[in-house]
Parts: sequence; structure tokens; C-alpha cells
Amino acid sequence: MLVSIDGGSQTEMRLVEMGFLPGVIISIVSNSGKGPLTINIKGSKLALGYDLAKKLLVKEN
Amino acid sequence: MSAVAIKILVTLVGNPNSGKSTIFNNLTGSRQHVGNYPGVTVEKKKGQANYKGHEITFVDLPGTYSLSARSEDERVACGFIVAEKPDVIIHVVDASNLERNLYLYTQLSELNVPVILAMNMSDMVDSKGYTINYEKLSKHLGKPVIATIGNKNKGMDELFTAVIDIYGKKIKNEKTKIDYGEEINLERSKLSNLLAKNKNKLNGYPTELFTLKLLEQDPIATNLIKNFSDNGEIEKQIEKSRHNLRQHFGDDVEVLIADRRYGFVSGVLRETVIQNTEERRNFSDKIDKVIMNRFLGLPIFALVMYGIFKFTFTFSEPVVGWFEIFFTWLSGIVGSIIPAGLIQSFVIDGIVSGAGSVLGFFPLVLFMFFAIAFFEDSGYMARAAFVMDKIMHKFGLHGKSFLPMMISTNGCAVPGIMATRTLENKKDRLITMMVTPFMICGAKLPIFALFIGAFFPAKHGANMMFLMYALSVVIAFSSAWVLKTFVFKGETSYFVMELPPYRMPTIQGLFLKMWERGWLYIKKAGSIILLISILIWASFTFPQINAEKGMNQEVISAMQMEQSFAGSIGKFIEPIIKPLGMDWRSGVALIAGVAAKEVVVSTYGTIYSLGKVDTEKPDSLKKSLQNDPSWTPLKAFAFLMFSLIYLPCFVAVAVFYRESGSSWKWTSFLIFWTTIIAWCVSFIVYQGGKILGV
Repeated sequence: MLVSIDGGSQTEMRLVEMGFLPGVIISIVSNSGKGPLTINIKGSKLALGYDLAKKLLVKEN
Repeated sequence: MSAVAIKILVTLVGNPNSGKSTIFNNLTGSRQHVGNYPGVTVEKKKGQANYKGHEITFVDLPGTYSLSARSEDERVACGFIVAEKPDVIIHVVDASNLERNLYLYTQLSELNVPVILAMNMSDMVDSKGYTINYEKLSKHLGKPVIATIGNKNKGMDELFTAVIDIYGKKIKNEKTKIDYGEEINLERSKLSNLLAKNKNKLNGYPTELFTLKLLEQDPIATNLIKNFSDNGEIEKQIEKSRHNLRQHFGDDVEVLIADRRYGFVSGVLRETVIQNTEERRNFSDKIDKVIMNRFLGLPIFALVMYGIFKFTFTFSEPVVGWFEIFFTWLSGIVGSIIPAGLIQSFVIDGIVSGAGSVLGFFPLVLFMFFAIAFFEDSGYMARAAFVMDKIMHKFGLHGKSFLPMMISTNGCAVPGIMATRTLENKKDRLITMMVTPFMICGAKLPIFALFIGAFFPAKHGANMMFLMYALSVVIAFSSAWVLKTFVFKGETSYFVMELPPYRMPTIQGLFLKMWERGWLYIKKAGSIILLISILIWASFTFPQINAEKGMNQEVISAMQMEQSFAGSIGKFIEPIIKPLGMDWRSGVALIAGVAAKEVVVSTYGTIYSLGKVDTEKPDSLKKSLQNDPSWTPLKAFAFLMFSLIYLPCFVAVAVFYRESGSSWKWTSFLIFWTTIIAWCVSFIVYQGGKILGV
């Protein structure tokens, strides 16, 4: 579950528009170490850069 | 007297990769490029249709996630909707991805323009394990909802009818009310009071929407109020409002507003969508597990690219051979019909050997386009960008920059440069624009096919092409690194991209795509390339020299070329390119190639044809190159490296100029930068090769 985003306002807004809101469930499809990962969020699959993923504060549930 | 047709302006709006262009093509009968990856359309496209006495203009806009313009392609979309005030908006929704897609709807509904929802890809909904109650959805939103399947041309009549009905007010266009909550609404009303005086300066935005945009700090809206003569009163109020709301909720306003919008959407979906089974995402996920695996991802991508070249070379080789025989035969026929002289030379050396040599590679290009169309339509393109992201990061780029480079490989650097509009960060965009022209586009392909075919064994054709492709990527990445490190310092923006579901490309779709691009190639060869070939021929033929009696014919034609207009230019620059193993003829071909890269091939066609005296027994260009003792494989390789890197064709430079914001500085930088690298790389290859004794 997403708790908050720690990023610049531009980055944050783009993510918010794509549905990255506090409380949203994100599931990880694949994770390649320091590379990008793929996630499922709100029924669609997204590729997420490593640096960006680092900015997402999540809670496991 | 005939009835005057009613004119309606309709815009297609939707998320990236929701299938707008496919629907646009269906509605207007046009053939805009489509593909299964986000960002195919970066500019608005117009098309006409007549339906039951209505003249409908459709405008296809770039895909956008919201109405706040964060990248150039989104700016195009939002700017158009707000400024042009279309009569009707068709919101194309990817029905298999409803939640995100309807977020955009919450903003569209605030525009005071009638909206029709086209539930596209409605056949994919089943596989996702849910059912949509379209009637209920329509009731909840107060808008017509139509199920469509773009690639099967289903639902188009219903769309036309809805457009006409909603325009003629036969269907009511009810307002969708999204509840932003008391606190936000209070701040909005404060803002709208301040805006009242400047209502006509809002560029067509409804005040209600504008207040939200101000609170969200939307770049366009924020810029707009800077020109208001209110001593920054509004700006102060925005600050206050944002502060109040943050105090109250402990979250940023943009998050609050988005939260309300998504809240509205999920409320609607709860009422209208029935989840049947657990989502059946297994198929796509299973493929992705392998394709995007951290170890397998890159080798698989390399294998796919290799497969494309192998396919292209293996299958096109015999056909290219037939074309070769045909053009040689044609030259022979012309030579025996038209008496020797200027006219004969014009037809054989200028037209058949010039433009004809480019046409000769038509089958190769066609096979290549077919293979790549498969790659584009399947959904693998976005995965390739994902796989490349990790490496590209090391060079200061990210995965999204890879798509423009692929688009350039798939056809032309011009749409590649345009596709950089999807990049949000300006610096990233400029770097990507600088390196995109390094890729081997459809116009450069004949140069490579010609030289590889002439100087390397046929069985290594695909390997050599793959090597060249890999080198183009290496050069693009390294120069991106140099630019990032020394010229455009700063943070790389973040990489987030939607991965579309896999789709089996249809044979019909593949052939259509192949043919469209192939036809462009023929058209170019028959117009621009033909014209330039004739100019090149003329500049080799004039001024005519006076041959002394008793001189050998071959010596005369060699002297003629060297002393002609083109020859003197070539001779003039020869000292510069000599260290690269090139002579004046290559110089002429490369200079002419700036007009269009195919011209490099056609110029050689003309040069070798002019040098050939016995017109009754012409040779193919490939054979002429092989028979010319001044060429070696090393020289050919150095020449190819130069052709790969040196300055892009004229059209690409012009588009670069426009897309860089009409910057002379960056355009001249591009020109010198590419040419200098080209010279250095060729120099190293040639001189290094000589030392190694290749």
C-alpha cells in the first residue's frame, strides 16, 4: 500500500494523475535489482524507473 | 437548392495507447499511424467525414493522462481543447483499464463541452474478468456511452449517431458533479470571486475548472494569471488557500483533488462494473516475467533485433537480386534504343542508375518494415524501452528516450524527433533529439545494404547489419553521455511508462503498415530522389570538357567527371576526407546525401554508370563497386561509419530546428557535433584498421 511520495512537485503530480494516491494498493510484478520494476496499479501495468521507485514510501500488507 | 451541411467539430481525447488513432482512422477513412505503445500521436491530426447531411471534422489529439499539460504532446492536446472549443468531445476510453482512463473524464466533464464516451477495446474486458454495465455507466455520468472495438471497426455508426444527436441536443448532456468537499469548494469560491473581473482573460477555461487548476498549480493556468493587473492578489490567495488546505488535511492540494476525482471514479465503477473472476492477467504476466527478466531481458531484445535483420536479409536477398537484374536489363535496353549522347546519358546515368538504384532496395525496405510492424503492434516496443532503461540510466537517459530512437529505426528520424515530445524534461528531450538521428533509418538502410552486399559475404549480411545497428546504439548512447556530462548537466527525470497488454498483430494490419511505409519510400524515390539524381547527373556532366582526338573513351569520361561542377567540389573537399580512406567521389555522395540519405546510393549509381563506357553491357551498382580496385572492405566500413553518424538529412535538421524551439544555437551544434564525431570515428576505424593490417 502506498503511503506517500517523496519527490519534486512535477514528478509527484504526474504520478498522482496516474493513480498513485495514499492508500492505493500496488503490487510488484517484477523487480530487477537496481533496474526498473514493473507494478500493477489500479488494473494496469506500469514500468517504473529505479530512482522513481525509491521515492515511493510504501507499507507492506 | 441543396441543403447546407451542418458542420460539427469533434475532438478525440483519451489516455495514451487507448486506441484514439485507430478510431480516428475508422471514422475518417484516413490512415494515421497506429501502434501498440504509448505516444504514437504527438501532433493533432485532422480528418473529415460526411454522415447523414453533417460535415464532421475530427481532430485526433495526442494521448494525455490529464488536462494539466506536463509534456509537449500533452500541451498540444490541452491547448486545442481549451482554445478551439470543439462542439463535441469523444473520450476514447480503454475499457480494459477503466479506472485510470476515467480520471481524465472527471476533468473533461468540467469543460462545458458535450462528451461522448467510446468504450474502446471492449472485447478485451472479458479477458480481464469483469463485465461493464454500459447503460448504468451512461446514467451515472449523464453521457452517452458506446462500446467500440477500434481494430475491428465496431461501434462507429453508433458513434456517428451519438455525435449528431448530442450536437442536435437530442440527447441531454448532463453535468457530472464531482464533489470536492466543502473545504476545497470554499477556497475555490474565494478564487472565483477574484477571477470575476478577468473572466475574459481565462483563454476559454470555465471559471470552475480554472480555480481547480490554480489550486493544483497547473503550469498553464499559473502563467496566465501573471498577466492580470491585480497586483498579485490572486497569487497571494492561491498561496493562502493551499496553505489552509494543507493545514486542514495534511496533504498537498493536488493529492486532495486527485483523490476526490479518483474517489468519484471508483464510486461509479462500484455501481457499474461486476467483477466475475480474479483478473486473468497470467498470460501477459508470464511472458513479461521472461522478457523483462533482469538477466534475460537484454539478450532477448538483442535476439529480437537480430531476428528482424536476419528475416529481412534472408527473404529480401533473392528479390533484391531480381530487381538488380531488371534495372541492368533496363539500362541495356535504353542503351540500345537511344543513340549515344547526352539524352542517353541522362536516361541511363541520371534516371535508371540514379533513382533506380534506390528503388532497387525497395524489397529489402518492405521486408524490414513488415518485421518491425510486428514488433510495434505486439506490444513489445514498450518492453524494449523497459529493458533498456537500466543501461540508458548509465548514459544519463532513461527508457522513455528509447522509443524515439526505435521510431527512427523503424522508418525515419523525423517522427523520431517529434516523438521526443513525450519526454517531460527539456534537457532529456534535447539530448534525445540530438542522438535520435544516429539510428539507421529507412533512408540509410539502402546505403548499408549496398555496401554490405558488395564487400561482405552474403551469409554475413544480417550479422553485419546487426553489428551496424549495435554500433549506432553505442554511438547514440555515448554521445548522450557526453552531452549529459558536459553540456546538459542536471538530474535525469524519472521513468514511468504504461506497459500495454500484448496483442496478436493481425496479418491485415501488418501488411497495411508495411505497404504504407513502403509506398512512402517509392514516392520519395520517384519524386525528391529522382529530382536530386538528375541534378547530380547534370553537375557531373557540365561543364563539358573538350576531348582531344585519339584519347581513350574511359579516360575522357573520367576527366569529364573530375572536371565537372560536382567533381571540382569533390576534389576541393578531398583533402579533408582522405585520411578516412575516401576519395572525391565519396565526398560528392556524402554532400548530396544531406538532401536525403538515399541519395548517397543514387549518386554512386550515377558515378559508376557515367564511368562505364560500354552502354550495351551495363553492370549493377553492386558489381561496379566490387570491380573498383580502389575500394577495400576496410574503406567500405569506414565509409559506412561516416554515413551512419554524419549530419542528418535536411528535413531532419529542419524538424530539429522547429522542435528545439527554433534554436539556431542547438541546430548548429547538431550539425557540427554529428559531423565531427563522424570524422573522428571513421578516422579511427580506417587508420586503426590499416595499422592492424585489416
